[in-house]
Amino acid sequence: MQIMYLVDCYEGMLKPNTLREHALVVSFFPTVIMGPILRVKDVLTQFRETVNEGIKPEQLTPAIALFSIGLFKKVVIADSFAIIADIGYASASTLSMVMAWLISLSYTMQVYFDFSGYSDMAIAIAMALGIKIPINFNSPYKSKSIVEFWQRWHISLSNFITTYVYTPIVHSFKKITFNKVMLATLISMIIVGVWHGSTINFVIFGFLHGVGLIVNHYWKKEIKIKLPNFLAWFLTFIYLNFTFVIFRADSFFDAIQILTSMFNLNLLTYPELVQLGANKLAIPPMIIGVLLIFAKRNSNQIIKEFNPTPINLIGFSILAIISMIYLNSNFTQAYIYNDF
Amino acid sequence: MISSISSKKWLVLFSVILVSLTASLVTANYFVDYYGLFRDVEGKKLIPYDNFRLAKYLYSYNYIPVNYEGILIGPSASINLDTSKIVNRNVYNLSLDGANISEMKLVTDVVMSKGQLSLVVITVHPYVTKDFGPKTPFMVPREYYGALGNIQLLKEYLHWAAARLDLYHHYYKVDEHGVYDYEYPISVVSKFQSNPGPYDKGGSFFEIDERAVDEYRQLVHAARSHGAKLVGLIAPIYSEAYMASKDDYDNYFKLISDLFLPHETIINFNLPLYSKYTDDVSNFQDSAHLSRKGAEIFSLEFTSQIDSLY
Repeated sequence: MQIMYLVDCYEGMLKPNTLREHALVVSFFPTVIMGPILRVKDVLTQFRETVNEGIKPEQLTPAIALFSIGLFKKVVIADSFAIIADIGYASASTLSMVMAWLISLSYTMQVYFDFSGYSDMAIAIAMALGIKIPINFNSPYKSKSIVEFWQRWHISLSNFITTYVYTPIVHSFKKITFNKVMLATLISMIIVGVWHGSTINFVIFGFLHGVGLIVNHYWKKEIKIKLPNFLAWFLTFIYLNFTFVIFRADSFFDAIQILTSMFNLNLLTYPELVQLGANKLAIPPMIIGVLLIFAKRNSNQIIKEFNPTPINLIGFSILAIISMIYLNSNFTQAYIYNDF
Repeated sequence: MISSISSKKWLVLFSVILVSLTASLVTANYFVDYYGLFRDVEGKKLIPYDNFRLAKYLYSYNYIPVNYEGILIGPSASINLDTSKIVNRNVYNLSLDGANISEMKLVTDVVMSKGQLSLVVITVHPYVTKDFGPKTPFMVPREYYGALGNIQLLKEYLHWAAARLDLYHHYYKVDEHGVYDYEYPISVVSKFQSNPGPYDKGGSFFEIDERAVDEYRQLVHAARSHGAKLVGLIAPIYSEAYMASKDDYDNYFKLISDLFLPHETIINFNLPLYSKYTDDVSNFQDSAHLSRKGAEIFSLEFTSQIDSLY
């Protein structure tokens, strides 16, 4: 936010705030830890408009509903996937093929539900206070290309990188060509990787996403063959899953071991079965998570059309109580993006 | 078409439902009191069904201090000794599967802070001083309030129901007296009994974390200061395994036994006196864990030694 503010002021797109207003914006608690990344001008106007307006029931009801969804996504679904993911990533060298796929898919799901759950809660708290902040996720695992994925995943980061990194790089070229634009894309995505952390894994994660974007653009420009929807989705999702293995693994060596195990053609081992059996209560939330990925409407769409009714009153109450039971359990995990 | 209700009414009803459901859940779990934390547990017999480590940790808050005068603490090597056979003292077997000294001290400290113990038996085994610090996230104070409603409690209820329906399967079997039998699958036990070995010879098995030994020392001091009679228990090891690393075992036993005072009893089940039992592979599931048959034999020996102290 601070970078965007300084650049916007420098570019003359924003008039510098008073210290009081600036302090108010940068300390806006729902988004201060993990985003969504806000542009000062987008929220400052709302702060000015909502002063002394108080909290209204009409804004509080959808906010509570969205917060219930976000909390459920985080503490029930993401943390259940985390149990299985953590088991496997802690023993990267001894995984069977089935377990390697299971833990990699579990982490891919965990990272989405963890971060989108947090984003839902941040948006909900802001909504309760009368501040609208932009959505950060829009069913990213329904994407049929890496380009589409980054339009749906961590949208505020994508917008930030596009505006403040990618565009200046492109503008720095004297003559803009397809290859130079692709180079800017690759550099931007490597910066996205480094934004997550300074280890080689994050650099490779960013690089692979850059390569994915370039392949998508090249395909669209030169090959021009439209893949069947399912195949496009499948290839995109599997590619994302591979990149998240590199993102999550404790070291690049571990990542290679897990990726290799995914093609080893061996079934679950007895200790793996025992471990999975001991954590069988994680399975129902995981199934719910998979169903939610493909659900017709995501949390943003549900809240957009929210209308207080007795049915959704019961539904959201149940979500909240289940989340509270999970919150009182000992396997709640820290937010993944809290580290970034 | 589902009719809408006003936002204000929705909010009020949401709050009422949430508070009512939470209160009902907490009240129900309070009255069930699965871990014996909140209500009178004197004379009750509690048996865990899923997470034995967590259950024993939570029993140490109230159930054990109220019902027992002594404890046996150790890792799985002593977990299936039947302390209920001791006549002169009511002793709870607080051994924890996979426990190291940090976890043993943790539960002992809780019991001693909540009640008065007259006997503390501490198992002597290289496994407990190999590493330091808690190994699982379960044994933490927040679990106390977790017992009012969390996922682990749900798992315990499901396992309890499964046990009632005879669907229960676990490494542990709990008999009608609440005695834990740590049992490997039959195939694993048969494999060991038909072809014992190879055994750990030196190496990492006998590695010692100095902090762990220091914690062992602190535990011994704490139990002594508490006023409890201290006993060291060197759990039985299958004789071939013991002989394969005799020097390492004996050096280790000497190191830990020296933490006890001369007048304090050390029960050593690996002395030649017990070789007729430790030579018999059918008394073991592996080199360090007793079979049901072995547990019955050594439980009798153990209880007679403890009873002779009083």
